[in-house]
Amino acid sequence: MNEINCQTAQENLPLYVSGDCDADMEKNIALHLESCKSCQAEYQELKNIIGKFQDTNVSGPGETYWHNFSDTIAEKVDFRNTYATPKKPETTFSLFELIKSKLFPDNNFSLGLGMGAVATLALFITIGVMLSKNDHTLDPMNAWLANNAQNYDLSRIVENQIDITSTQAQFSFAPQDKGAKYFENGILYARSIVVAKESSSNQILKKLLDKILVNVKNESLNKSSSELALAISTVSNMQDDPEELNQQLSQFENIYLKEIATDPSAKTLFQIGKWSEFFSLLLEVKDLKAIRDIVLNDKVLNDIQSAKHVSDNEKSKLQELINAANKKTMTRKQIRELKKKLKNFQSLLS
Amino acid sequence: MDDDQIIDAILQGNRSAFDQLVKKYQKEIYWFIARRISIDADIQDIHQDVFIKVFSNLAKFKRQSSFRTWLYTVTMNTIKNHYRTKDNSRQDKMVAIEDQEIASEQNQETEIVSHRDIEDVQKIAKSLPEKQRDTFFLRIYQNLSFEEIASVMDCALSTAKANYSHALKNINKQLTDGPP
Repeated sequence: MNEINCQTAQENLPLYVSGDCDADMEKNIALHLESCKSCQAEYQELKNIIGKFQDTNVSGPGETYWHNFSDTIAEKVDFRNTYATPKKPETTFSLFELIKSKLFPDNNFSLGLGMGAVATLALFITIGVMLSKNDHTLDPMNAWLANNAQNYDLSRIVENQIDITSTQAQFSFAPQDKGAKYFENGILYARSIVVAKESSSNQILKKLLDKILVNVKNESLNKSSSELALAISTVSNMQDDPEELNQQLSQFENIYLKEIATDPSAKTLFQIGKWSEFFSLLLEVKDLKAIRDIVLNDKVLNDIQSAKHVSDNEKSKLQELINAANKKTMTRKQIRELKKKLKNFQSLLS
Repeated sequence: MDDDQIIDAILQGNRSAFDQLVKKYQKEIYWFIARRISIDADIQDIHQDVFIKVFSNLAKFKRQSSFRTWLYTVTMNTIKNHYRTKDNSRQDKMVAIEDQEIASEQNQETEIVSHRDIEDVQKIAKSLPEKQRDTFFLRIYQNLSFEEIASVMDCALSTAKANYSHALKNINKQLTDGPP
C-alpha cells in the first residue's frame, strides 16, 4: 500500500466522507488519518457537515396532495389519449407468406403452376429453416413477435394511420426492450415494407422507403438488418413499380447494398432473391474477406447447389467471384479448402 | 417490476403502472425541489411541471440512462426554466433560506440550537456556485451516484466529483472563516 501525504489525503477527504473513494484510496486515507491529527480534524469537520445535511427534513404538503398527485398528473397529460391501448393486429407476416408472395405475386396459388413451383417453394422453405438455425436475428425475433402480437399492428402503418418514424410508434409497435431493438435495427420497417407490398400500395411503399432513407442518412438505423435485405429483395422483385418508386429504390439500394454485402447475417438471406447482384456487389466493393467467407461457406454452397434454377448470369457471376477469390493472396490452407469446394461447383457451373 | 418494465406497461396504456411510477418518485422529487428552492407555491408548481413533462414525453425517453437519472435531468431543467421566466427578485428568493424549509416543527423547540446550526450550513450551501450546490445536493440529499450526477448535470465524472469536493470544502471554509 502506498503512503499518501496530507495534500493527497485532504484532496480526497470529501469523497472519503461520502464513501465515494476507490478501495485503494480509502485504505490509504484511513491509514493516513490514524497518524495525522490535522487531517483527522478536517475529516471530523467534513463528516459533521454531511451529518447536518442528512439530519434535516423538509416540510411537505399534506397527505391529500400525495393522494391526488397521480390523478392530477394523469389528467394533465391526458393519460387515456396519450397512452391509448394498441389494437390487435389484423395483419401478420411469416417467411412462408413472403415466399408465397414472391412465388405467386398474383395470389395465384394453384396446382396448375406445376410441380416445379412447388419444389421451388419447398426449397425456399428448406433454406429458410437452414438460415433460421444460423441467423441469430430471426429466431428470437419471431419468438418475440409471436409473444407480442397484440402489441403491434402493421396494418395501421399500411392504412397510413401511424408515422412509423415517430418515437411513439416505436413504443406502440415494439413496447418490449427487444422490440425496440428490432425496430432500431430496421426489422419492423422491413416488415412494414412487406405488408405494404402485400397490400399493393405503391404510395405507402414509397413513403416507407422515403422514411427509411431519411433514417439511414441520419444513421439512426442500424444498417445491418438481414430483414431489411430481405425486404429490399422483395421490393426489388416487384414487376409493376412505377418509375418514381424504382428510382427511390435504387437510391435506397445504393446506400444499403455495401453495408449488406459485408454483414454476415444479411448476405445469405440476400442471396435468396438476388444472387447475381450480390456477387457483383462483393466484387465491386472488393471485400475479399467477405468473398472468401462466402466461397468457403458450406451452407452457402449447399444453398446454391440445391437451387437448380440458378440463372446463367448468376453462374457467370459466381465464376467471377471464385476467380477473384482464387487470384488474391490466400494461405495454403485456404487454397486447399477452396479447391476442394470448387469441385462441388462443377455440376453447377458446367 | 423494474422501472423499464413499468414504463413499458404505461406505454401500453396501463394506468395502474402509471400510478405506481408516479408514487415511487413523487416524494423524492418533491424533497429535492423543496431543498433546492424556498417558495412553497413554486415548489408545487415545479413538482407538477416535472411530472407532466416526464409523462408527456415518456415515449421519447430513449433509456440511454436510468429513468431516475432522466427524471432528475428534467427536474433540474424545469427548475432553471421556471426561474428564467421570473423576475430577478424571485431569483434572489430562490437561493434564500426560509424558516419553513427547515425540519419538522414538532422538534423545533427542543432542538433549536441544533437547528440554527443546520440552518447556517444550509444557508452556506445554498449560496454556493450553482453547479457546486446542485452536485452537492444530488449527492447528499438524493443519494445519486457520481455517474448519475454526471449524466444529470451533463458533465464528466471527474467534474462531478470535483464540484462536490469544492462544495464541501467551501462550506467548511465558510463555517470556519465566516462568509467571504
